[in-house]
Amino acid sequence: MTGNSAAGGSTALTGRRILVAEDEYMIAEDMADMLAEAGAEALGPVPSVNDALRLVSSSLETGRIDAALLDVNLRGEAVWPVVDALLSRGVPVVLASGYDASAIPRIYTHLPRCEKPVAPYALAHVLARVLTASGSTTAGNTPSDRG
Amino acid sequence: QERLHASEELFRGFAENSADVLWITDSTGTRLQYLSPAFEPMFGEGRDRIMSDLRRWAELVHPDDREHAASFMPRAIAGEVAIAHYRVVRPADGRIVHLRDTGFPIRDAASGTIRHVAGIVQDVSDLIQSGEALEAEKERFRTLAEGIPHLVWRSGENGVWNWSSPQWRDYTGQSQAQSQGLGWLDAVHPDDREATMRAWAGAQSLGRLDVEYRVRRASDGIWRYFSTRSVPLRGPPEPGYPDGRILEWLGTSTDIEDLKRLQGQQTVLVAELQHRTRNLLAVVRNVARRSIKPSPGRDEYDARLAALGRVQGFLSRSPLYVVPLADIVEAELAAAGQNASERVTISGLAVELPGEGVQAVALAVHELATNAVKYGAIAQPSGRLSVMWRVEAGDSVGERRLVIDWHESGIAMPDAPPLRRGYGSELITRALPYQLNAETDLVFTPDGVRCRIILPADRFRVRSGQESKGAQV
Repeated sequence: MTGNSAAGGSTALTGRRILVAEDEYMIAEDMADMLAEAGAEALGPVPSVNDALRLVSSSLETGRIDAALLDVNLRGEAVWPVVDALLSRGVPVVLASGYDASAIPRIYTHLPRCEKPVAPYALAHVLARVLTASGSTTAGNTPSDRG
Repeated sequence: QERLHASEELFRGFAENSADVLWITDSTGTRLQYLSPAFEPMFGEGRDRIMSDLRRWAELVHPDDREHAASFMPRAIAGEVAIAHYRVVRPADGRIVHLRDTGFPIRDAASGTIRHVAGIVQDVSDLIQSGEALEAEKERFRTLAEGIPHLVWRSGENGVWNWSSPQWRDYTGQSQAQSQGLGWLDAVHPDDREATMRAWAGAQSLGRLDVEYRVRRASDGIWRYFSTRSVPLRGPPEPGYPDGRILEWLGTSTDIEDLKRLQGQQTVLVAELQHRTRNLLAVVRNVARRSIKPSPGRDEYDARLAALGRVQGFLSRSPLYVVPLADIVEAELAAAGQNASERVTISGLAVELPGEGVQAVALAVHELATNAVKYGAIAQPSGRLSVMWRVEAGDSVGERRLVIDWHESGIAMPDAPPLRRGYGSELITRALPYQLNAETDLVFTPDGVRCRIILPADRFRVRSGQESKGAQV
């Protein structure tokens, strides 16, 4: 159905809502295009930590977030507050970064990571994997801290 | 008789009101004949017990001081003025007071025979304690000066040292005597001595010394850079010296060799990173040329990569990682091949764009310049282009913003200039607001392109405040 159907990940991405945080406009647009081609819906993209946090709370009020694709550095600010907000609500996170693994704080090294420049195919594949693994339903997010 | 009585009254007046204790014994020093009232508050003991038995006095003295105190009375009896310092443990509260006792004989005026032995006792506890506090303070300074890794020293005017810490002596191998005066200069690198003494010459009026020089390490003969700082210790204010006279200079020399080496490495690394970035751009251009057949699209791609390369070039030459806006505008117009300088006006404040945002602005200017040279104000002989910018007050109080106006006129616009669609338009109307919180406006009038880019305060800074109005390119 799309050019990416051979990726095998497109089925896992169909209808999913993926938050995108990336401060470089053209890269953000590419990511959003890739998601659209894979049948997913891009939330955002947003260029800053504050915008991302706002989008997280508003998206969770009105609907759900199935996964997030986050640049590690947004306008010079680390993205970790956004990662924490998403993980505490059980939303799987994929990091996109130009940094080497050694620049990622230890507590976040377990997160799946795509190093820039990211090929759309690789991105779709990693997203499909975390979506399958998280077993995320389409019924909305339950904050894990409420048990 | 009357006069004698008056004299005795006078003595009593002094003795009874003195904070010091006055005492008088018989000529053998064994029986007290008079003891002034100050005894009780000073010794914390009633006068009656001492009056009846003078041996009680010795019992009040601190055990460690008794031997010394006991030698006092015989000397006064023998006829000299004897002074003794001893401590007394007050029976009233156990507190220890430091006393100074001065005893002397009182002789018969006619025969010279000793009639009495008398004395005055002063409480010198305050003096002793401030002396002890001073000693403690000195000890603290010594511990600090000798314990910290810095080389500490004290100096008179013009770097004439009078003391060096053990660290200085250990490091340089100099003795205390060798470092005195200007001897320490022998341990300073010969090439740095002149600058060092120049710094000392200016230190007096500056009120501080701040200089870097190399010091030779005795253990291996290696010269290492030290940062030396000193401030003067001043006396109380006096006429002509509102801040007080300089008593001496206290200084430290800190080993900054490692810091200097790391800074040097960092400079090399940044330069290397810039070099690699530009190299990578060149490789990418080359790969594109080899992979894509000649086409308008390939040329545009090539020109955009070249614009990115120019931004990196500006940044690599700026230690502050900023690029003057005028440089970007001029470079992009020149690269686009404009050769109509009399029709182009570039003018505005000397503003600089920080490295994080400059790339997007430069790409936008590149698109505008390319369009002007190919289709717009520069392509058409009647066309004019003015690029002007100014800083103005923003929406909120105290906020400033940079307004850049790209204004073409005197041309006949083609129906669908490439800038209207595609990358350039998206860059200006979408990417700049997204990335830089810029406000942008891109209009295609029949007369030419009008573009306004407004950058928020954190995306530019004004260099010196001077205006470079009317600069023609």
